[in-house]
Amino acid sequence: MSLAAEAFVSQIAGKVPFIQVGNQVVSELGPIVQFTKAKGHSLSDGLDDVQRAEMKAYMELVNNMLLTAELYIQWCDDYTATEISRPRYSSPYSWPLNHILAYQKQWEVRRKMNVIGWSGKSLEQVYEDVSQCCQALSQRLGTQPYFFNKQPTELDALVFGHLFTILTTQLTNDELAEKVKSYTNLLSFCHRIEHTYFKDRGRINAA
Amino acid sequence: MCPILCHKLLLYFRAVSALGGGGGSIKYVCEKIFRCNPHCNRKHFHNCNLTTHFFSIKSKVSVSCFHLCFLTNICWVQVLSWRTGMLLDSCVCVCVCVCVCVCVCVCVCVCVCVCVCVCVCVSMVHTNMAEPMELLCWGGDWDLPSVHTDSLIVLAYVKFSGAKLAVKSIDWTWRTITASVPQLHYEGSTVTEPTQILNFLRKQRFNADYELTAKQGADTMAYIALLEEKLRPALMHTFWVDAENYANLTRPWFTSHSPFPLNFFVPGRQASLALSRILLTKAESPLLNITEVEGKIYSEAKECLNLLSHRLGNFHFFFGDTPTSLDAFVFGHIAPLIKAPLPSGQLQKHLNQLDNLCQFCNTILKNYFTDAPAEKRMDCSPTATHDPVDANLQKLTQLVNKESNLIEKMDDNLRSSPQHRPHRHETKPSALASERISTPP
Repeated sequence: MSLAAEAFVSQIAGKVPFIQVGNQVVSELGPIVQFTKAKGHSLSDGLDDVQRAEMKAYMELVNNMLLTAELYIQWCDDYTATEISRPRYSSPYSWPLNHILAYQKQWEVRRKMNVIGWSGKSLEQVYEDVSQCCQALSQRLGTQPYFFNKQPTELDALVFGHLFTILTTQLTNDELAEKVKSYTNLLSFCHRIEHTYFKDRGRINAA
Repeated sequence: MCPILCHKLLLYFRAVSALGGGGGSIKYVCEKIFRCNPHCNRKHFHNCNLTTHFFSIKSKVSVSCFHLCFLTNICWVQVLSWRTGMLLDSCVCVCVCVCVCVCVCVCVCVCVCVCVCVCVCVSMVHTNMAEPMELLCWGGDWDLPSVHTDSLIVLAYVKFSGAKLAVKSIDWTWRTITASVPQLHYEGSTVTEPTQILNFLRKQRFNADYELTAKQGADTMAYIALLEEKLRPALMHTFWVDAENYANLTRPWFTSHSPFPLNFFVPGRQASLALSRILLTKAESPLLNITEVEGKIYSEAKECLNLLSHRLGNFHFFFGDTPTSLDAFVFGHIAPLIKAPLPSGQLQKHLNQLDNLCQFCNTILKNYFTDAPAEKRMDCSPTATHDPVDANLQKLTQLVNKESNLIEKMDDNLRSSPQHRPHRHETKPSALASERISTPP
C-alpha cells in the first residue's frame, strides 16, 4: 500500500502515523505538528492570526466531514463493510480474533455515528456532504497552488492525505472518487503535491 | 324539560332512527323523557306525530338531508377546530342556520349544494389562515430567548432572516422527552437539526447568507465545523458533566421546566447523552475515562474561542455589517456560556476576557431580542475593565499560554527559554533590583 494509504488506514486505527526521535515517540497528526513546531520547524509561521484561524477551521471541516464520511462508507454501509473493511481490518489476526475485532470495530464506529447524528443519513446524503465539503475546499483553493498561496501548510498536508486516499483506495463503487474528481482544481492540487514531494511513489489514476 | 324541546328532540331522533342511525335505544330514551315530563300529555304527543307525518309527506328526504348535513357540518367543524386549535362555534351556528333556512324551503338539491359549499369555504378559509411555520424549542432564562444551544442558533437565524414563525416552548410538556429539539413544523412536515432547519428556511426564501461570496460560504462551513468539533464538547462538559454545574444549575433548571414525572428522567437522559458523545468522539480508546479527556477538550475550546476572537476582530459581525448563519451558530454556542450563572466555569472566565465576543453577543441580544433589558449589556464590560492587563499584554499572555502548552508536552528544556518569558516577569526583577539599590542598607 502507498504511504498515504497506510497513513489513512492507521489514522482510522488510531495509533499510527508516528515518528520516533531519539527515545521519544509521537503519534498522530496533531501532536506531530506540535512537536515539529516546538523544534522550530513550522509551516504556518508566515500566517497572521486570521489566516491561522481559517486554517484551523478548514482542518476541522476536513476532519468533521471527510473523515466521518470515510468512516461511514467503510463501516456503516453493509456491502462495503462485508466485502472490504472487515476482511482488511481482520487480516493480521487469526480465527476467532479476526471476527471479534472486526465486529467490535464496526460496532464502535456505528455507535459514534449514532451519537453525532450520522446514523440516520443515507449513502446518497453522505456523498452529498462530501461533495459540499469538496466544493468548499475547491472554492477556498481557487486557482492558487496551495491553500495559503505560496507555501504549503498543515492544511495542504491534511487535504492531500484524505483526497489521495479517496482517489486511490479501491471501494465497491467509485462514486466517491468521481465526486472528488469533478473538482478539477483539487485533482490538479493532488497531482502537483504528489509529483513535487512523492516522485517515486507511483501515479494517481488519471480521470 | 320544556315540552317544545321534547317535541324537537323526538323529531330529531325519529329522523335519525329513520336513517338507521342511533337505533331504537335513543328513541326509547327520548320517549321515556317525554313520558316523564308532567307537562306533556297525549295531545302533544299526537301533534308531534302529525308534525312528523307532515314532514315525512312533504319531504322526508329533505329532513334526512338536513340532519345529515347538520351532522356532517358538526364533524367537519370539529375536525377543523382540532387541526387549527381554534374555537369555531360561530361557524357551527352559521352552518346550522343556513341548513335550517334552506330545509324550510324544502329544496333538496340547493340544501345539499349549499351545505357542501359552506363546508368547502370554511375549510379553505381556515387552511389559508392557519398553518404558519411552527418552531419547538426549549424555553428561555438568564436574559436569553432559550437556554439550549441548538434552539438559540435557529432562533437567531430566524431573527436575522426575517422569517415569520410561531415559537412554541416545550417546557412543562411531554415533548421534553419525546421531541428532538429544535423542531420545525410546516404543512405536515417536520425538520430537525439546526443545519437542516436553516437549509429549509433558505429554500423558503428566508436567506441571511444571500450577500455572501462563494469563499465566504466556504469559510462559514469551515468555522461551523470548528465550533462543532472544538467548542461543543467543552460546552456539553461544562453544563452536563461537570458535577458542580450540573448539580447546582443545569439539573435544577431542567427539572423545574419538565412536567411530573418526566422531571426525574429528562436531565439524567441529557447528561448521559452528553457524556457518551464526549467519550465517543474525543476519547481515543474505550479505556480512557472522562478526567483524562477533560484537559484536552478544555484547551481545545479555549483555542477555538481565541481563534473566533481573532477572526471577529473589531467588526460587529463575522462578515461585514449584517449577521449571517455563522453569526447565528457562534451566538448559539457562546451566549449560554456568557449568561449562565455557572458555579464553576473556567471556560466562562476565559470567554469573559475576550471582549469582542462578549460585545458581539450583547449586540445581537440588544438588536434582535429586544426583550433583553439594555442594562444587562454592562455585564461583560465591567469584568473586562476589572482586568488590569492591557490589550497587548493580554494578547501576549494568550500566545504564551498556547506556546507553553505545546512546550510542556514536548520538551522540558524549552520551558526556561528566555524568549518565551512574558514581559511582566522581566520587569519584576528590575523593580526589585532598583528597590534594593534605592533602600540604603
